[in-house]
Parts: sequence; structure tokens; C-alpha cells
Amino acid sequence: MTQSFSLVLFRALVMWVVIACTAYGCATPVIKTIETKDFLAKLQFLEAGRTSREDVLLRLGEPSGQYEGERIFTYILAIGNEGQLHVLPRQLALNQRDPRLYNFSPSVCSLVIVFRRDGVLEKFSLVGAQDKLK
Amino acid sequence: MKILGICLLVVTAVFLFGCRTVSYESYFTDEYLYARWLPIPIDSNTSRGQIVEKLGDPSKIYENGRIAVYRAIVHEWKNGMNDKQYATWSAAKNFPAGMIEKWRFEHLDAEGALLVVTPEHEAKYQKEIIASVLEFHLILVYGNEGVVLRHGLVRRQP
Repeated sequence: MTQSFSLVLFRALVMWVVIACTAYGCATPVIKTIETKDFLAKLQFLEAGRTSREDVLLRLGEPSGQYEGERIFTYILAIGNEGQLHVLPRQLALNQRDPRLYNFSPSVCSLVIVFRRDGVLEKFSLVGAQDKLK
Repeated sequence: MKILGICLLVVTAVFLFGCRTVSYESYFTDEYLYARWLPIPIDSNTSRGQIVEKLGDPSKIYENGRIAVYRAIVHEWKNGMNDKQYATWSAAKNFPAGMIEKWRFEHLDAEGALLVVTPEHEAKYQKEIIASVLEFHLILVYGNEGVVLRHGLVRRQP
């Protein structure tokens, strides 16, 4: 009797593990709203009329997009789970189906930077990739 | 009951193994990248010629060459990544990160290779770029004398 009870318990446990493993894939991700302030707090070095192209490159690296020669740069940015700013590599920026992107989604946005003729920052803006920015 | 205990132990061990993560940021620090992966120490005496000799042409230049960016990746496939290796990597990338990252970082440190990606050979190394553990950009600002005025490293891999 005890043996059969153990067997039933064991089978139930195995079944539970199998179901838990299967159901893990159905876990609904927590949807985080993109807050501009999360990004802006990490981009305080950007100041119109003061920050140079050189400063931007030293802080963010090569842009993922570049327009009108060197006048407009774009970067794909994300905020990690611990609040740190990530500049995403180009392959993630280009391939929205890369599973590594899901770690950040939907906290991913594009930073667009416009420089003046003299290479100093004219303006910048954040554009939400998958959600409206607050 | 003994079997049940063993099973629970195994399940717990498997779950805990996944928690044995190594932080990407704590492993790939600036100091580590400069010391391990850059073939030349960079300071205010380093000339453009010395850098080009060691790293080759930059990935991109700005402001008529005053600023140079080297887009570098670190990967495990010294002899190139074939289709079979790429397929294996594609399957493995969905494993819980903690199960493979520490091993991969250590393996990379011992066996990895540095590749400076330029527009000319970006398509050729597409698989290595996608599968690389680490991408970092070395940004060099040169002065009038052609020596480094300012420099910085930016990590790119999440």
C-alpha cells in the first residue's frame, strides 16, 4: 500500500515537472511602459549647443544609422532589467526577431541626434520602437 | 521514497545551475578589454600609424579622419564559422543564459579571436558577427600631430 502510494506520488511529481516545464513557455511577459525619463536619465551628457559629435561617439560608439553625411545619427537603445542603458548592436537593431531582443522589449527606443554644421549637437529625440513614450 | 528524494535533488540542482550566472558587465570590464583584446596599449603617445599597423583600417571615420571607430567583435571561431556550427549556435542560444555563459566567457578568453569589422568584409563574417559574445567599439580622436587625443570603449552586446 505504501509502495503504491509512493509510486503515485512519484508519478504525480514527474507529471508536475513536465507540465511546469511546458507551461513555462506560456508565461506572459510583464509589459513595461517606456518612460522617456528612464532614458533621459542616462543621456544627460547630451546638451544642445554643447555636446560635440566626438562626445557622442565616445559615449555611444558607432551609430546604427547615419543620414545626411554625418549630420544625423541614430542609435537603438534599451534599458536593462537593472536599469542600465544598453546601446544595441546593429544585428539586433536590424533583426527584430532575434530572441535576445526580447530581454528588453518593449523598453527599446531609437535615439535620433542632429548635429549643426560645426559638429555640435543641435537637437535630439527619442522614438519608441514598440510603444508610445511617456 | 528514496527515488523521490533523488529526483527532487536532481530537479533542484538543475534549477539552481541556471542561477549560476556571470554578469556580462562584470566580466567584460574596460580594463579587461584593453588588456586582453587590444593588441596595443593606447595612450596620448600612440600614433595613428601604430594603431593602423595593429588593427588595420578603421570600420568608420568621421570628420575627415579626425575620429576613427573600430567595430570589434570577439568570437570563438578562429577558422571561420561554418553552417553546421551556426545551426548549433542557433539552437543553443535559447538555453537559459546561466547554463552556458560562464563556460563560454572562459572559453572565449582562452581560445577567442578578435575581428575588426569593416564594411568591406561585413557580409563575409555575418555569421560570426551575429553569434559573437561581445561587440565593442574603440573610438579614437586624433590631434593635429596624428596622435591619440581622446579614446573610449563602448560595449555593444546585451
